[in-house]
Amino acid sequence: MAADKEILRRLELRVKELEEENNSLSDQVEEMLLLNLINESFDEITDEGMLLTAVLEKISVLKDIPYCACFEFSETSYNCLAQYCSFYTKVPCLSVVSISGDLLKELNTQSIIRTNLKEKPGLLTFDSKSATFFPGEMLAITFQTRALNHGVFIFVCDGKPSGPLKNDLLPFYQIIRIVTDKWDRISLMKELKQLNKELEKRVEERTNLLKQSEEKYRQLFDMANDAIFLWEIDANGKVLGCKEMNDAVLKMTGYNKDDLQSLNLFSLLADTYTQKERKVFEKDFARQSGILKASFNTRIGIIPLELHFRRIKLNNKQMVLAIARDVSERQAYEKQIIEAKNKAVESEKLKSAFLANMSHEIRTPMNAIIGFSELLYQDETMPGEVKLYADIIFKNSLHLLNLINDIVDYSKIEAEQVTIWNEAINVNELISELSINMISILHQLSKSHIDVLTHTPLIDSEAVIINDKTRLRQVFTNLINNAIKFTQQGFIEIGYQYNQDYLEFYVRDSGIGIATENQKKVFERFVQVRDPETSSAGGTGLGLAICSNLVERMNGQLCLESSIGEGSTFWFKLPYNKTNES
Amino acid sequence: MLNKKNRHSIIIQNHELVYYRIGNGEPLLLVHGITTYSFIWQKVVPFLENRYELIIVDLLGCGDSAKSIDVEFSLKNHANILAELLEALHINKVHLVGHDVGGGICQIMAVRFAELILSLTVINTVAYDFWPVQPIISMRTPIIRQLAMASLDLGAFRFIVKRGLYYRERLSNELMNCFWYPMKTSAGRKAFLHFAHCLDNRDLIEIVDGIEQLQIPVLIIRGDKDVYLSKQIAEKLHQSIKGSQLKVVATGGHFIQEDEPAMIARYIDEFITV
Repeated sequence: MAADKEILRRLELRVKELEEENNSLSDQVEEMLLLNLINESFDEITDEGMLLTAVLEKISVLKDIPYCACFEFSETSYNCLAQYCSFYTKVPCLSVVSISGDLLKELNTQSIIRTNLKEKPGLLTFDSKSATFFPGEMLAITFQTRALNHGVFIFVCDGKPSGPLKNDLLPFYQIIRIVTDKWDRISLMKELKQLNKELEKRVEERTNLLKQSEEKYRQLFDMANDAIFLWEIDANGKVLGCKEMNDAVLKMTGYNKDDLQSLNLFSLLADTYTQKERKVFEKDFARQSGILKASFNTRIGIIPLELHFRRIKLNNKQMVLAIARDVSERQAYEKQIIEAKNKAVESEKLKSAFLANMSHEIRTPMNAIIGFSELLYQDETMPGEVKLYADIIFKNSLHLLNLINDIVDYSKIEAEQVTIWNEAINVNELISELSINMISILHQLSKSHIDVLTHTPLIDSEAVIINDKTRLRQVFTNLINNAIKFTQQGFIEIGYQYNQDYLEFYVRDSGIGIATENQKKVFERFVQVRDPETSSAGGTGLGLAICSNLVERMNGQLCLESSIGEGSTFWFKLPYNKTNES
Repeated sequence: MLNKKNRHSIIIQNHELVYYRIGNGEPLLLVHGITTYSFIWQKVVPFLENRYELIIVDLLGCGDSAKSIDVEFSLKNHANILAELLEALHINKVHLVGHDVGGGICQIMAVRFAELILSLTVINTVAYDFWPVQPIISMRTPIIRQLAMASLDLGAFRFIVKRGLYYRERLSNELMNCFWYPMKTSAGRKAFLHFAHCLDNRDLIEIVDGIEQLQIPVLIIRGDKDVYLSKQIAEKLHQSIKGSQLKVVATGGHFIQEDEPAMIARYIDEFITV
């Protein structure tokens, strides 16, 4: 019996041992399941609020702890982050529990607090009472994450039916460790996301700015009046082709992008440049920056361009940015300015000469007029003297008048105020009249030994042209006066040659003649060809300039043939039509 | 899920109770068990709706009914609530069909509200203090713990559902979604756990005598392959209730309505018609 009892006792002990082993194993399985569940459910969680709610619910359900919560706290305050109360239908607003100052103090000094609220009900009070829940044992474990310095998990068991917490708190630590790890990961992800967002925003802002800037420069590039090119060059400085160009290029040169894509700039140089000049241009272009002035072949023709260029590096490629301006207008303008300037200088010079000349020419007769007028004024003047003086005054006045007339005539011509009044002119009659006048003048000047000749090949009825008679007479008179002035012996001949469509009028003399180099000059204003021998000839220097101008206005051109010592022939053609007869 | 066009709701004990009313004929009240709700009858309905007026409830805390946990989810209180429902619907006499803990509720109703009941059919039911049955993990882990874990994890829940079927390969995603639907919300999970916590053997022990003296026809259907409830429950009920019928379905698991809906419907129809 005793042996049986002993066997029974041993068996009972063994059963107890097995039961304990079994319980311990099942506890382990349970913890593993719990940890597994918590870990698995984390995959989809992206927010610490969701994380805490999910974990607290799982702990509450699986550990059978009615109240599970997570707070952040300081020395004086606390804030509920998440909680799960199995005794309420819905999770109520986050103010179910009040934490006492004493508990806060303890939390600030201890990392784990385990106590029974039945014995210390004031430590943690539930604001709203539940009929089914009576606070029992409480476990508080503090923790820290990247985002939270002071956090605490609080678990409160039901004091009524279920027993106290198990002594082994390892599972709680494990869970909290998992949660804080995940929490850190979440906050890191959030920080990363925020950083990413900021970066994206900055990139977007910069991209927008760049876009605006690029748009602005693109507009400037396209709208510019000057042609802008971007030429690519190789390591040796050889131009590979134009990679970018603006609209002005097409307008200015007629070339498009395809034309210039793989063309060397210097192949477009105008054909007139020598090989040497081309080399110089290429050498210049190889510099870092500079200005190239050259003419280029374009679709529109050869145009002179001023090319401002600068080397730049773009996408690891050597480029030359060139801005070209068509300077043909400017060049023409410059030429005009230079011509005008030369003309002005010449004119100034001539005017000075003229003034010097005129002052002499005007002063001489004026002096005579004033001097002899003064003599007339005296009482002792003899009657014979009066006539002589009056004659001198008269002649000088006439001379002065002629001079003034010439000046007025030329001024009119210059101011383009001369009008040509066309009428029928019988040139035979005109030449006859002029020859008679000439004989009279020669007689007056005691030059009657000079022969006066006329040549009028047309019969009177056919010798009619339509032109300005007064001006024609003026031209002839002027030429005849010159001939008289510069001829000392021989002859003076006036007349015309007949040709199909025109009459070629001429005044020929056997006078001193004009040197070849001076022949052109004589038609210019204020020019008198003088040499020491004939310096007494006098005159304004305007006569031939006036004649030349008048003839031009009458649709002719005054020409000169002359050689020194042999005489001169001034001739001009005027239109002639036989039907003018009437 | 049952057709929403037949869905109704009513306020009982200050909480919304959802029920479906389908077909014409003598009224038949169908009561589900724990882990399920009205959808568990979806395959049976087509075989019965032409001959009976089916009243199919979502017990409080289950399906689409209110999830409030400030009401007692004991079998006794569920029985009271259903009696109130019948009164509100002016149904004087009804055939009762209950599954799992729904069978327990129906037993209580048959004893407490005998005047309302025409017949009682229990399918894989709880009874006496024979439940919860063998726990899975260890002797001291009650079934509540399994249920608790299942409420938190779809995998664990799928495991439970799968073990409850005879034709396990028929567990489609669609069917699993039906089971899982109330667990998607915190309130749903909480109500489910509250239901589990409220289960108390004493509710059924109290009516043991009443059950044995029942005067109405009783049909007991047992899925032979139900791993959750022992076959002794069905056998003991059959022995204790005189004149009761016992049908054992060889190809039925715990959720036998999914395994053999036509057979279940035929047994019920034949039982009531006779």
